[in-house]
Amino acid sequence: MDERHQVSWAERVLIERLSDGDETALVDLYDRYAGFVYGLAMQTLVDRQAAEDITQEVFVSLWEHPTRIEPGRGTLRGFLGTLTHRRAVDAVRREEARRRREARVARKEREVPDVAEAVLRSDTAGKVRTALDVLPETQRRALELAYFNGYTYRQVAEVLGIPVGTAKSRLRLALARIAESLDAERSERRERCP
Amino acid sequence: MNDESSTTPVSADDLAAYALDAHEAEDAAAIAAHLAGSPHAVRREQDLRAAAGEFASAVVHEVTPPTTLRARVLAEARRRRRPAAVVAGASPIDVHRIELARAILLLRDLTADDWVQPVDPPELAGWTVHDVVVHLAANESLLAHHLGVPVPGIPESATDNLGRTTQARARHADLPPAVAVAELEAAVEASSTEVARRGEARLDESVDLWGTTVTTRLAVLVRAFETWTHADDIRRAVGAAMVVPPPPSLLTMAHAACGLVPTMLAARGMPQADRLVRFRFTDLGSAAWDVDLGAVDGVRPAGDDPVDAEIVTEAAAACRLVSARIDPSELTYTVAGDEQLAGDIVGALPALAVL
Repeated sequence: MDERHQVSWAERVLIERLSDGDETALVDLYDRYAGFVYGLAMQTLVDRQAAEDITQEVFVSLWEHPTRIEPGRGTLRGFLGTLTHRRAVDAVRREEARRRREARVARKEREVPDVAEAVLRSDTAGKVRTALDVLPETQRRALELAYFNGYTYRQVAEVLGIPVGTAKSRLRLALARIAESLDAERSERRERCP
Repeated sequence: MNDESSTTPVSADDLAAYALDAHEAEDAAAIAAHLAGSPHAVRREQDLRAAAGEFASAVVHEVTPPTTLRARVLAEARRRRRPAAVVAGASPIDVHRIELARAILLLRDLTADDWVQPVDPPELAGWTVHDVVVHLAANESLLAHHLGVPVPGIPESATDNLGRTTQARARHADLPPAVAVAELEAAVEASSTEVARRGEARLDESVDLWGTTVTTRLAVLVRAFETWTHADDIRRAVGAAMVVPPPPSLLTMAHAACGLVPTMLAARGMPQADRLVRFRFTDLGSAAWDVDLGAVDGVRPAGDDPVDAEIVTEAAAACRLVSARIDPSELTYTVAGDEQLAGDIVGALPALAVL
């Protein structure tokens, strides 16, 4: 991953403070990212209590193990997104959580955020708007189901009525397109901001 | 398409599903085994996972968690890993680096609407949040210039606070706010890296600050102080809660402010030779310093000498008074000893505040 995806200087300072045991760094981290982490957990889990537990676990685990953050592997927000999503999906797939989720399938289908709409409202809209605009609807839908519903690729295939291999390919193509778009957008921004 | 194989062939499609946590449980062991034997596949999976994280960061609706969650998180964090004890003030190098970094993270979260909000200090009448950030960037690039590490692409030539800000505001008038943030970050990266490279031993070397020769120590502390103050100006403008520097930073800032009290009194035409005053700060574990008002750099740890007055207050509030963000009448403090002297000192604390 090139430097455009790396943690910024200011984020590196924050990570160093966490490593030094500076509790105010955890406060800064929480105040800055709690809305994002909790929002992602809510969108994936829908369950408020579970989302709170996931949010707590993400921040506490980062406080406990700050060296796990890899400054060369994406932004701090992206890293938190990865941590949160993994935990949220694990929770969704636990048997009890699965029962809860399946009981709400119909409602949840309606509650899955409209990604395009979310992007339009986002302060960082430029990052992925282009990618989502050009993503074929089939790829976008597969990505939404996998990411926000916590579906496996087999479940994505089942819901969309497509072969498993096709579902996996759609996920890969969507992700690759977004990664390319993020690269392009950041290159453009670097040129605008010396 | 199969990736390089170690134990089990894993396709690029498999890696993408894995990076999205969309793999089946039974696939996980096979993919993990493959990753363990293929550094190339690990890099690809990490890149895909990072892209998924960036996707989430761009599209997720932020939701404010319940207010009780913050306390729960901090309590559990303390239980699992004890925070570092505050045993001394932070190095001025770190105070500067940390406050600038905190400000930049704040700026990166501002919305388009936030950037055009007016700020409230009377001396900044007519300024928006954007103007304040341009001002911060102008002063940080000036410090970098004086440290011998000028920021490429910064054309401003004025070396005084007001003049350089005026030039920078004119240049930024039609530029997006992101440019000012990028310039600020480039400037502080240059200045803080240079100060850190020089090390503690060279903090007493002279450097120009707005036409006055000061120590590097004081220059970076002034920049930290100024940045904290303006960051809070911005927070007020956008409706966010103001913050206090981390305790080790606040300790260093409060110590520096105490050292400037004789200069503040002189600036107000009230020099106080042969008087000794003690400051005790309740928000810093009752840290206390004695200040010889007749001496330059007359600050020392509180000792057994009798003092003319002891002022007990909060360091954060006193620092806000030093930067003229509160009025002397708003500072809550108690005095033991000469109340008139204490009142004169409190009244003089904002004497050195500049734009």
